[in-house]
Formats: sequence, C-alpha cells, structure tokens
Amino acid sequence: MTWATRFLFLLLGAPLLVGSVLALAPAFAYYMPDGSFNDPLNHSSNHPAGLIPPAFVTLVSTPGIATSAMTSLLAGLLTPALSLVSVYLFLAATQTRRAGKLIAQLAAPVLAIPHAAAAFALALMLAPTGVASRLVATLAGWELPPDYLFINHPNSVALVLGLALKEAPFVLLVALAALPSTDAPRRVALARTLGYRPTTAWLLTVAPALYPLIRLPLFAVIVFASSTVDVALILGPSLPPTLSVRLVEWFVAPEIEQRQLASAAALLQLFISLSALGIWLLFERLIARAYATIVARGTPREAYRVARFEAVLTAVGNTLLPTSLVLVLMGIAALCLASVGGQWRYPAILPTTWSLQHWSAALSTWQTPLFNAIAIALLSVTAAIVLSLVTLEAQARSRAGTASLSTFLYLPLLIPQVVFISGIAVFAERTRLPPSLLLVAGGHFFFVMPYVYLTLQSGYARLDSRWLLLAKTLGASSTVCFWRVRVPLMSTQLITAAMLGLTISLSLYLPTQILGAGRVPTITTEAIALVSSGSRGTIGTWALLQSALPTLCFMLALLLPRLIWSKRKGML
Amino acid sequence: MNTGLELQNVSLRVGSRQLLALSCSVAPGEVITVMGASGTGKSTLLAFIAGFLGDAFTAEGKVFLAGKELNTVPAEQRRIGLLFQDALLFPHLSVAANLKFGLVRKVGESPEARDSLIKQALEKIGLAGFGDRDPASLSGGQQSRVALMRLLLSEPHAILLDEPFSNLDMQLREEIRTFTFDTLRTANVPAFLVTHDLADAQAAGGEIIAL
Repeated sequence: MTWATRFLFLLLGAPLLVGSVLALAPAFAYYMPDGSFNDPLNHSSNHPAGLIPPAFVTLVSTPGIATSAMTSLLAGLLTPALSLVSVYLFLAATQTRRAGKLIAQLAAPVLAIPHAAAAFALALMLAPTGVASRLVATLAGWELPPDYLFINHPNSVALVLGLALKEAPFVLLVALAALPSTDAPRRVALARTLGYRPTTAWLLTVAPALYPLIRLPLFAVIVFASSTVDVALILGPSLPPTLSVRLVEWFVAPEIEQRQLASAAALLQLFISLSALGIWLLFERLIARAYATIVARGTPREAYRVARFEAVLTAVGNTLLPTSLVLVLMGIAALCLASVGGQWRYPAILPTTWSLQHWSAALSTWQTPLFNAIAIALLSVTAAIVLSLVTLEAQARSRAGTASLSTFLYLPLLIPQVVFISGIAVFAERTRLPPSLLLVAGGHFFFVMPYVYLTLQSGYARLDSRWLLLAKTLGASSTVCFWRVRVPLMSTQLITAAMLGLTISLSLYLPTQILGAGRVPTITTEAIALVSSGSRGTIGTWALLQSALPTLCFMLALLLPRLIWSKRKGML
Repeated sequence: MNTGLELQNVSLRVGSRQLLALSCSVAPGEVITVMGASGTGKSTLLAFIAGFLGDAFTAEGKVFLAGKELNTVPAEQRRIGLLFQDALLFPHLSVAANLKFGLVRKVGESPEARDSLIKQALEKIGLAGFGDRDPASLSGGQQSRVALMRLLLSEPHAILLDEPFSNLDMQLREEIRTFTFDTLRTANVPAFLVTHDLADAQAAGGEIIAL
C-alpha cells in the first residue's frame, strides 16, 4: 500500500468513525439522581448500572415511532427491489436491440436530475390534480379531480416510486457498465440453442453473472432509500414521517433532550438500514436457491406455458423502465408549465393563464444560493479529483494493489448519511467550527469522492500502458508522462468524473442543511424548504433552477470532449 | 570497448522457470534479430533491455550500451528507443507535436530552429506539409513512418523493434520494412529486432539468433 492510499484511508475513515460515534453517543447520556447531567462525551463518570438511557425510553414511547421505522425499512427494501426488477427485465427484454440502447440513453439525463426535483416532477404527474389525472379527465369527461391520496399517503407508494424513479437509472447505468464483462450475447446464444427463449435465456444465464458486479451499488441504494430525507420530505408519509425525517427534526431542535432523542433515533436508523441490508442478503440466498431449482429442472417442454411466461416477462421488461423514464421527463415538462403558469383550472392540460411572477420572484433571491451551490461543488470536486489522482498515480508508479480501497470508498455510501453527517455536525460544534461553506464542502467531499475515484480508477485501468512506456523511451520523465500523456489521454474520464461529482454535490440536501445549520443556503435546500409552501408555480420554478446546473454538467460531460478534440479523431 | 549494444550472460526467469539465456553484441548500423515462437520471452527480453521488466520476472546478466552498464539506469535515461507493433502516435497531438515530443532539447536552440528541424524530418519521410494534421487522418504506412522518425529524433543510442511489421498488411509490410532498415542503417545506431517472421529476419540482414 502506498503512502497516498494510507492517507486516503485515514482521511475518509477517521471522520466516518468520529461522525458515527458522535452521532450515537449522546443517546447514552444520563441525568444523575441529583439532577445533574452526565454526558458521556464530556466526562466519563460512572453510569448508574443496569439503567436504560432515558433517550431510549423516550424514543420507544414516542407515538408512531414503530410506523416510522417500518416505513424506512420498507422503502429501503422495495426501492432497490423495484429498481433491480425493472432494470433486469428491461435488459432481458431488449438485449442487443437498438430501441433498448436508445431508451438507455435517456437514463443518463434522468440520473442528472436531483432527487428532489424528480420527486416534485412525480408529484406533479400523479397527484389527484396532476397531469396524468388531467389527461384521463379530458378523455373520460371528468369535471372534478378523483378523490385519492398519493403524496404523503401512509402506504408510502409515492415515496418508493419517487426513489425508484431515480435509483433505477443509476442501477441501469451501473449494470450497463458491467455487462460487457459477462459475455452476455454468447451466453444467451448458447441457452437459445438449448431451447430457451431469449428473455428467459438472459434471466437464467446473464442475470446471475451480472449480479455480483452490481451488488455494492445496490447496497448503497438500500442504505440511501432507507435513510433518505429530501425525497421523504416531499413524497413520504407525514403522519408519522419516516424515521430519517423525524431524526432531522429532533436533531435541529434547540433542546438538549431532543438532541439526545435524535441520537437514539440515529442508532435506530443505523439498525434499520443494517436490517434492510440483512434482509436483502437473506433474499439473495433464497433467490439463489430458487434459481438453482429452476435451472435444475432443465429445458421446459410445455410450449404454451413457456411462451406465455416469456411474453409476460418481455412485455413488462419493455414497458416498466421506459415508462418510468418517460414519467420523469414528462414531469420535468410539467414543472416548466407550472413555473410559467398562473391559474391552472382542472381538468385543463395547459395552464389557463400565463405569468412570469414565479420566475421574477425566484430571480430576486437566487444569487446567494446559486453562488453557494457552485462554490461548494467546485471545492469538493476539486479536492476529490486531486486526491484521487495523487492516490492513483502513486499506486500506478508503485504497482500496489487497489481492490481494498475501492470497497472502502463505498463506506460513506453504506452508512446512512443522516447518522454520519449529524455526528460530523456535533464534532464541528464541539471543536467550535462555525457552520460555513468550507465545512459543507467538506461534508460533500465524502459523497463525491467514491464516484470520482471509481471513474478515474477505471480510466487508469483502461489506459494502454504502452503509451507511458513509449513516452519514457522517448526520454519523458514521470512528471512529463503524467501531464503530457496521462492527463490528455484521460481527459474524457477526467471531465466525466468532474461533471459526475458536480452533479452529485449540486443535488445533495442533507449534508448542506445539517452542516450549514441553515446558514449556507443552496438551490437544493431552498427548493426543499418550499415544499410546505404548496405553490405549484414556486415549487416548479425552484425545482427547475435546481435541475438546471446538473443538467448543464451532464451536457458538458458529453460536449466538452467533442469540442476539445474536434480536430483529433483518435481521441473520440 | 564496444560502441554498440552488448548483452552479457543475460538470463531471464519466471519463478524457477528459465525463459532464455543469451550473450550477444550489435555494432552501430547493424541489426541483430532474435527469433522465436510466442512465449519464448522475446518481449520480456526487450522489456529487460529497455528497463521495464515487471516484478514477476527475475533477470541476471548485464546490458552495456557504448561501454556503459545500464542495469541500474531508469528507462527514460537509457537512451534506448522502442518501436512497437502499432505506430502509437499520440492521438491528442498533431503530427508535428508527436515528432517534437521526443526531440532532444538543446541549450540555446530557438523554437524556429526546432520547427525547421521538424520540417526537414517530415520531408525525409515523404510527408512534407503534414505537420498540422491529425495523426488519425494518416494512412497506416504514413503513421509507421512518423513513428520511426519520432524515435530517431529522440536520438536513441540503440533501438529495439518488437515485431514492428506484424500488424501491417502484406504489401505495406514490404515497403515499411525496407524503409525502416534503410533508415536504421543511415542513422548508424545498433538495432535489436525480435520477430517470429523469417522474412523480417532476412530483410534485417544481420546476425540471427533462434531461441
């Protein structure tokens, strides 16, 4: 292991450990019988033995806490399950067809849209007075919106859908990146010569080989979905909200008891997220066993049943994921309409009157949030790129192993954000670090780093080593090799890594809100603060503002390499 | 005292398996050819001479260039040029910038002098006026010629050729082979060719060592 790798381990590991400990420790605080307060963080006087810390008593007796926890657990399991099923069926049904490749290209821009904006878009599509309902009403001649509850319903359908809409494209892109190493076309061809139909053949031969390659990202989806705050605030149930939302409410409350309660809730959140992971692992085993049984039955001969099964799988695969992508993009279009709409009477499909008041209102307050968002994104991404390059370059020169580090880098994605970040906030308070842009950027770094590092790592792995040998035999030093050969030849990956990092940072809500203590507003925190306003126009405007920069980054990632290398065909 | 490239009792091993053992020397302007089927350690031998030997290999013996022992000299200071199977023109640089990449920097030399040097070099390989071109727009034969010229401009004291013609089609192969060996003879540097093609070895016109 090189010194740079060690340094990175420490830089990521120490705050993760300190943050998690500090998030959980206040839960174990006691009031002494004489009324004094015994905080385990301040002095280690002995606790009254055998007593349950009061914060846990309060937590357990909080109304609806079991429902909150259960909602988080279910969201943590159903979101990845729905994402995985839709992606697998899509890949199985489309395989090498051109239509499938075109649809897959829609996934990348959807990935660039922030979670919150996608949640707003979904709400605007599927609410009782939403665009979908208006379309049906126009066709069916309804006068009044249907009476159903979608957003904030206790059954959390909207929450899971909203999360899956964003996570499925992520899983799809991860799966597409891993797919070439599974040798899919040959596996399918072999299974077909043995009598399996194409979709079934893919599911039986490629799916099991692909799964281990996308497993770690799926774990990140599980933890994220079970502990998300922004999407839960917008789409999740309100009576009671998810555990993560309540945790944040308690954490930002001024009373010390609430802070301890938040800490106990953080422990519960950690338990819930780990439980979701544990249950997922259990299902992995059950499904693996079921697979073994199905495969052992051999080639099915009952042509009618096989054909029907194949047809259903193919139909679902062809529609589920494409529909969800189209839903988000239509929702963004609906947000555009809402942002320039005045009155919008039901069941009109377009706003009845038009107005620019939402934009003019937003434009008068957007400068500071926009500046903050860009500054935080640039700081955290620059740090992530520099550190990644230093580490990778040191590894490349010493030929040391890298596998352990890339797994370790997933850690910030496998500990619930809300737990780790609230601990970092406690640390900042204790060390009298005021909430600042720099502190927020530091928090963003942890979530940007894994993606930046993994992108650049694959760039390092893919670069033909002969380029560097050649440069050396022409007399170039290691420094010259890096700047004049490595960096230009990897420019596309560098741009991708930077834009991916910027997109992630620009969309992050929780680290910004908690570490900035509300004093470092960004476009994202402002947009989410408007949830309660309930004004379709205002929300639409801010959701679009929030999506604008990530979308720009996404387009730059595609265009910049083409612009820079327009005269060098070999680079594209 | 030898002014060429000399290998003294070189032996290469992977673990306990011996790949090859040889001693030889090449004088300036000569080409020595090492022939053998794949897996006999030809490319490993070149990596050893150039200074890129991987951790998996153990090497014994000494390499001398113009009488100086090279074993402890880092690759970029050995002044040993390498010609690969592919032309490997840097795709991000123009043809002229590719040639300049290896051009030895001389004290007090003006940029204009360097430019005119590049111009002459391009004329020598029949590509006058190609300096600003994208290397991807050159034909395979043109790319090979630029690669060879880039190598010579770096003023190597010895040149290693790793099956340099095997990725060319038959007709081009003949032409590039003749061009390369003629140029090497004129440049008067010792050259070390590894190949599995007897025609390459014969065209090189020097000693042939079969592994």
